[in-house]
Amino acid sequence: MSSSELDYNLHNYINAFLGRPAADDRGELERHDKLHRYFRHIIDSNIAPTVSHDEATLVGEMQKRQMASSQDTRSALQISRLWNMLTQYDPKYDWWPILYLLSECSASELHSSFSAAAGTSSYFAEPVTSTPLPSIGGGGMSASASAVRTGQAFGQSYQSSQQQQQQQQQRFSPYGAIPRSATNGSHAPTGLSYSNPVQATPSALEQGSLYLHRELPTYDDIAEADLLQDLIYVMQGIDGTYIHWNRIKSVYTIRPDIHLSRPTRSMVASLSELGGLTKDIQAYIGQIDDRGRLFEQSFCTELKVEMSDYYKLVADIESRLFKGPRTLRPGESPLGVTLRRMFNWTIEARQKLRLMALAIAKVQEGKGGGDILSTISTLVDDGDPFIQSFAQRLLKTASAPFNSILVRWVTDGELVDPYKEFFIREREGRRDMFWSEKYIVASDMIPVHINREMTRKIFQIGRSLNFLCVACDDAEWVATDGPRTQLVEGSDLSDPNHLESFVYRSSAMVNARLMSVLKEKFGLMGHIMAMRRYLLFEQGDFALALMEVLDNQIDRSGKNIMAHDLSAVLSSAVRSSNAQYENQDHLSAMLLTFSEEGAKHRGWDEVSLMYTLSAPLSYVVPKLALRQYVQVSQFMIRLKRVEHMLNSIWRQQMTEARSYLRSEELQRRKADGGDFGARGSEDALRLAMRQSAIACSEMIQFFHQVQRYISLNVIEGAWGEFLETTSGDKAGSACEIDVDKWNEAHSKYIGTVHDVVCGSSGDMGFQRNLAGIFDTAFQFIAVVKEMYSERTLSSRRGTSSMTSPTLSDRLQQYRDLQSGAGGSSSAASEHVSRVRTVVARFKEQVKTIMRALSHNTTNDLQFLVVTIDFNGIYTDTAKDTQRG
Amino acid sequence: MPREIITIQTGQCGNQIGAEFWQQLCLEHGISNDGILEDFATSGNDRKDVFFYQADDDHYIPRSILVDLEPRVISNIMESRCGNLYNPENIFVSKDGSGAGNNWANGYSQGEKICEDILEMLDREADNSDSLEGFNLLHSIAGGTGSGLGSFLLERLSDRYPKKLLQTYSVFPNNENSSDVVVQPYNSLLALKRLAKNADCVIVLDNAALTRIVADRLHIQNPDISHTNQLVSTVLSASTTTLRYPSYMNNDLASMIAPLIPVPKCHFISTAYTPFTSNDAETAKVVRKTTVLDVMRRLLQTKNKMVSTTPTKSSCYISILNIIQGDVEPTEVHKSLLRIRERRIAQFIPWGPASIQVALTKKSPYTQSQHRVSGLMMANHTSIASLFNRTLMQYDRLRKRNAFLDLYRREPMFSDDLSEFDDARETVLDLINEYRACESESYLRAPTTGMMG
Repeated sequence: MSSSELDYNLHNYINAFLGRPAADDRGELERHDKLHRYFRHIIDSNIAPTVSHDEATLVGEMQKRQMASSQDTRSALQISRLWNMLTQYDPKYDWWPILYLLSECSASELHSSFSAAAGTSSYFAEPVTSTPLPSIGGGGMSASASAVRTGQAFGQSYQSSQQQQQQQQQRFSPYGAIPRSATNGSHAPTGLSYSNPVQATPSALEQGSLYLHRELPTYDDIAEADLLQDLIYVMQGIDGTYIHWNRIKSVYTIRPDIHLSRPTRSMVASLSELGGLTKDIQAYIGQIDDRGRLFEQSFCTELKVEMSDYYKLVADIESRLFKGPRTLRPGESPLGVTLRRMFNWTIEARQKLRLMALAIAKVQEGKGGGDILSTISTLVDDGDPFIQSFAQRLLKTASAPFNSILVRWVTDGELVDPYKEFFIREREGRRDMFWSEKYIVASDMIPVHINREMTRKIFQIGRSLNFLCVACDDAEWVATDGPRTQLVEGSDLSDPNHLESFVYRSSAMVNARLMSVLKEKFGLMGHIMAMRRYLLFEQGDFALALMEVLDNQIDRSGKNIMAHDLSAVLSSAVRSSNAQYENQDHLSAMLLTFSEEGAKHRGWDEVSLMYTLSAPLSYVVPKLALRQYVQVSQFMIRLKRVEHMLNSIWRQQMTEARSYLRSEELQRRKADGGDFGARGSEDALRLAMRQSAIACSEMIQFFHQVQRYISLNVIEGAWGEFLETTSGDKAGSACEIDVDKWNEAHSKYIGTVHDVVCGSSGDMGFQRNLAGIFDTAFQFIAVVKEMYSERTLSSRRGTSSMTSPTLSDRLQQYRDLQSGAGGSSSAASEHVSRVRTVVARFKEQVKTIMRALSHNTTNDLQFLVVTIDFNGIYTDTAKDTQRG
Repeated sequence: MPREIITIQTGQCGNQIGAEFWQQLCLEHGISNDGILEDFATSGNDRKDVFFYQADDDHYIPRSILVDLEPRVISNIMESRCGNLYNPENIFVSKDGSGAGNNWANGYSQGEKICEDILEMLDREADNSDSLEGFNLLHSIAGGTGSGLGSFLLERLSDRYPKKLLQTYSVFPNNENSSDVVVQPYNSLLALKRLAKNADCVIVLDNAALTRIVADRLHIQNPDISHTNQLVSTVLSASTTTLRYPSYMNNDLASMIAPLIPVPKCHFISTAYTPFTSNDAETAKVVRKTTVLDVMRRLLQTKNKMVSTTPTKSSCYISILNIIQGDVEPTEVHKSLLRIRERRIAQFIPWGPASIQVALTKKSPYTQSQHRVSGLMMANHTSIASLFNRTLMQYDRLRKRNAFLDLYRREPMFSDDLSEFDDARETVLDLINEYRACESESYLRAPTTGMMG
């Protein structure tokens, strides 16, 4: 601010108080000048203390001071909160000056309140100027003193509203006397105070301090007895005569017009803090009584017990007090009740009340339920044995409902938790998913003294018990032989050590029981083995029988296939294989259906085996796993079908070749070695046949290796691993197999198989890899079948009597065939070329697949390539091109 | 739909190994000598119905027909412990009981006379099956009955059951020691022609190799026929385990031999087995470490093969099927295959894909073995041609001298001329050439020889 601007402002300021001087009034001008000079002097004297212009430090200072003065952390926090709001309101504004001013003022007020109390009793340690009473206007004041006052008023008016400023202006005397009431109540400083003019000496001014040293009153306005009586009420949270509840500041404050000496005041403040705490606690208790939940209620119970102790103390003090004389002179205490004693007697109570208030505050901040216990548990971890024992009492009472829920849960598997305070929750609308979905762990409700492993075990125990009761019809065991038997008489589950040993014992017991019930009563492993036998076709003769039956049905169009046809196919396959000796439960769980993709086409080549589990196993084995079985099964059926059809082609080739040789032999014997058919076309046909025979064997070998890999490596490998993890052969793991772990192992088993077969991320899987090659193989089968059936047809055309083929007839057939083939050598060569095309495509596809597989690094699939290409025929391209 | 297999055992050798085979099967399935299921054998994951059927009183009867032209061997069987096992209606012993006199032609021509009776038995058995898979013929090719009558039956079966598989377990004579039957080269050649033309799969068992194994492997100083028969029955039962104990793969005859025989003509399968044990010889009881790799490696060794062939440099495997039995970690198979491939222990055909196929089978729960793993290899190897070649050479030597031909001229087939001999020789030569051709890279492009396929 430039000096001229400052001058201008100062003039304005003075004019605001004294009025603009008339130009001819010399005296008035003189006065204005004098004041102006004086103000300049003040401003130029650099009265600001050398402090850093750092707002954060300042706020910190203020907080520190607040803490020191009122021992109230909340209002200290309030300061930083307000400060945050202020900076957010306008972060660019330079708040430091105002803040500093306010800070200094509040500091001065804090002190001045005491001096004000002293002022009323006209007691000054160092009277420099007499302080005028609020009602009396200023008068006879020295210019310097009034100037200081004006300065302060200036500061205060800075923060007061414009309206108040105007008010002040009106009430100011033309002579500059500042009425004390002008700032009274204009802002709400902490503590028992009202504002008081500050006295300043010029020397103090020169030292750069705005404030004067003040003396405190050494005696009180009211008698100690009255004060004690008042305090008795206050301690119970009731307003007394002198001490009232200050709504704004949420503390008990002494009436402002009553002055107390500093020690008295601080003792009164401490004692009346009890009142505040009591009020808070009572309010909380009342609130919980109205709509509390179990955990909070039991927490309150302990609070109530503590409070009644406290009331007893108050009553005790009160009774002592009333027995004594009504009035007591200072220092006199026949029955020993003095303010100081009262203060001492209540130290412990105050500590407790504070602790309770703290616990309440924390509990209210928390989420309730198990979190309450966690909150209290944190209090237990305290070095102070007093606090520790108190918190432990609190914890014990508060955890009573938790423990009763816990006990109910781990012994009966019932969740009795009306207010959802336990760390295990029942999910809405999931009652049908007993195992996997019915209960969940609410992790924010887990008390801190229960660790992760314990949580899991507790969850598992209750869930298993519940499952045993509800789904497995085993309530009797739960009631008579369950974990209840593990409850040692007198052991308290709220003790973490007891709880832990109990949980460990019961967990092993319940898991073992549930697994044995699932396995023995409901045949879990039996079903899993049945799925392996039938859906993954470990039962080879069943696979064979199924293929056979499907083969007989394959010509029927898909539209005509009814559900009962499918079941007829399945039951026929079962009847003609060892599956007929299978457990009826397993057989009835099996279903032949159209696969998901096949639903549209409804062809016989799109069928798949499905396995349905009934309750309770259906709750345990996830649907995904069952779906994976179905998908694997579909692929296996396809693979088996290709294999089966190739084998039948092979059989046809073998027997046809044999029959041909036989007829040739018979011919030779009869006709003594006559020529046999047209040589040229025969060669072509022979070539086609030999090529198809070799191609057939090539395909058989390929699918054999794929099948061997899938069955022995993938399925059996995963199965072995599954058995190893679940059988518990390894020492120590036996009792640890719970349903979840079992399930995990099972999912891993079928998941591995499924991934290899149907593909997973980053891997195609056999299903897609082999799709093309399956098609080629089916085409090949079709071509070869056509080739043979055409031969049969052409031979039929030649013979009239097909009813009873004698040897000579058949011989005739073959001759006709050969001659017929001679007539249609084009047909033969067409077959040759078709077989060639299909075989070439097959070879190409095998190479493609091998390339794809050899890049696979996730499992040992790449080695399958080695076994397919055992003699290097696919990789040796030189030979290949030569052959091609 | 058990895919039944009907066994026909002809002649002395056929009936003896047949008897051993059924005894072994009964043991493995827990069937008593009378055909009654033992009390302990109720687990029922085996398929007894492939080889047995149940009579009205539920006792198990082998699907087997016992044929001989002399009564000695069959009456021994009937008087043995297992005598009650067989269906008496399935036993045919020639009425005159004179045998075939080690003469193929005699056995063959007697077949014409008894044909109706035997075919009647076969038809009955075939009708008794739901889905007949095929026939197993057990015989030797050196003698008269097994060789001659067996050949005849093969031809007739081929006519009557053209769609069924015909498998034979044929015991080839001990060529190095041709003293026992002087006309054995004639018989062998004539029978070989039928095996080449009228059978789908011939499991070649070579007496020379069997004797060698008994002596070397089992350390029996004076091996007699019972020891070699025991070996044969071991092979027989091992080669049928996948049919009797179904698992993932190879559960019918077709799926078992289809991968072995890519070209119809090359259907002569040699076998190897390891480890051999014998209850008769203490020294053979030495138990070695057996893993899948050990077993698969040993199966490829000549000393364990039941055929004595003389492989040349170009000899190679057309295909291999290993039937591994016992306590096997399934994933071991894959590793062993990789290992064998890595070592290039086996030489394969150069013209098409060929590999070692493996079938894992369950083990009978009722028999004990000292070995963790045992294995049977069924292999289609081109060196089998050397065996045929030996027969051919012996035949040529005999034929050059026109020795013993009178015996044959007595029979109708040879009454006019000996062209049958020449035809048989041509067939065998053709077979030898086919196997030789298989060793060549150009096999696929080679012009087809006389036979189809």
